[in-house]
Amino acid sequence: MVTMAVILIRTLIIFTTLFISMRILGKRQLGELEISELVVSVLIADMACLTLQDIGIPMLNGLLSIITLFCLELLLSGITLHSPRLRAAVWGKPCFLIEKGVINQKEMRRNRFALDELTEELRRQSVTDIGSVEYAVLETDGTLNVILTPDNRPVTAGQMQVPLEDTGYPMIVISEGTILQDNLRKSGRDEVWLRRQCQQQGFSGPEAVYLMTVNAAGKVYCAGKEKGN
Amino acid sequence: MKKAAAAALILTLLGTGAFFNVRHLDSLTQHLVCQIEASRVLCEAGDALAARESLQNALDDWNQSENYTHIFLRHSEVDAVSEDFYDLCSCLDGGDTDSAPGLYDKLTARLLSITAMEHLTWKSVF
Repeated sequence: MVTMAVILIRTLIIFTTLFISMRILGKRQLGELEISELVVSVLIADMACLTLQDIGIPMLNGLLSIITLFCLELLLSGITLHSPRLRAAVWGKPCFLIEKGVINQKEMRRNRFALDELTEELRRQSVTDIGSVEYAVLETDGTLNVILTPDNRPVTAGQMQVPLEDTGYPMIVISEGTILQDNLRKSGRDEVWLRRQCQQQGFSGPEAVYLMTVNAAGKVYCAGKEKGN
Repeated sequence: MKKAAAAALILTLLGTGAFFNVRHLDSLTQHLVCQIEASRVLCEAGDALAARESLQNALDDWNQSENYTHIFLRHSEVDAVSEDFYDLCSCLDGGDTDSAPGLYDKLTARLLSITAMEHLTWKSVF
């Protein structure tokens, strides 16, 4: 028999156990989730499944566990937000697998990161020569960020002293025939302008447009709906 | 921080709710056990009719708390208690006083086990 108080305690114990386990296992187990997010995701999925599968278990038991997990996650993230020291203890710190071009073997071992995995991660980011990496940082969510040596970094327009116009962020103003009024307002345009644009692009109106975007420079991208849609 | 405070408040409320739930279940089972014991005394005294009536009162009270029990307790446990009640009722209706003590014990133990499991102990948690 599982009841309220027992569920609360059991949830706390399972959460703590999973959390500590994942923390000990290290970042490479996490993928793109933070530790507590992963624990919560796994547990919630399982609890929801159990409650749905076994109708002999009161629904409240499952709900209670899920609410408790969400509250723990919120509480933990809220507390760690205000304490860098606690944040480092709970989420861990980013660590350098490659520092100033040198592979940090101690950190590699500590994070149980094999050399093959490191090269695989680098290839994923289109880096084939490990010698071109100045820093490789294993973030707290398990992702690897790579900074190339200065001579291997792509040249920027600023370095080339090429003046470029700031085109801003392209706003979607029509999505599948629907005018997104908020975005249209934010882009500083109105419906009259929009309808004129549609006609200029050869469409009867916004209903015939699949996607229309406009950036700060006024450049419009327009794609019509396929026939029959 | 507002979200964290809300989460802490919800967790506190859940903890308080769990505490009151234990108290409510304690009082419900104690009430039922008292009625069942009264019925047992009457049965042992040979008054099967009064024993049946006292047991019926306990059964009515159990059935009236059905909403609570089905929300907070495992359905299989609730069904088992109801089954034990009806077994004992049938026994008393049939005048089978030899089997009655065993059924009284079974029903009382079942009800007390619900409360025992609800209490926070190493056994109930693990």
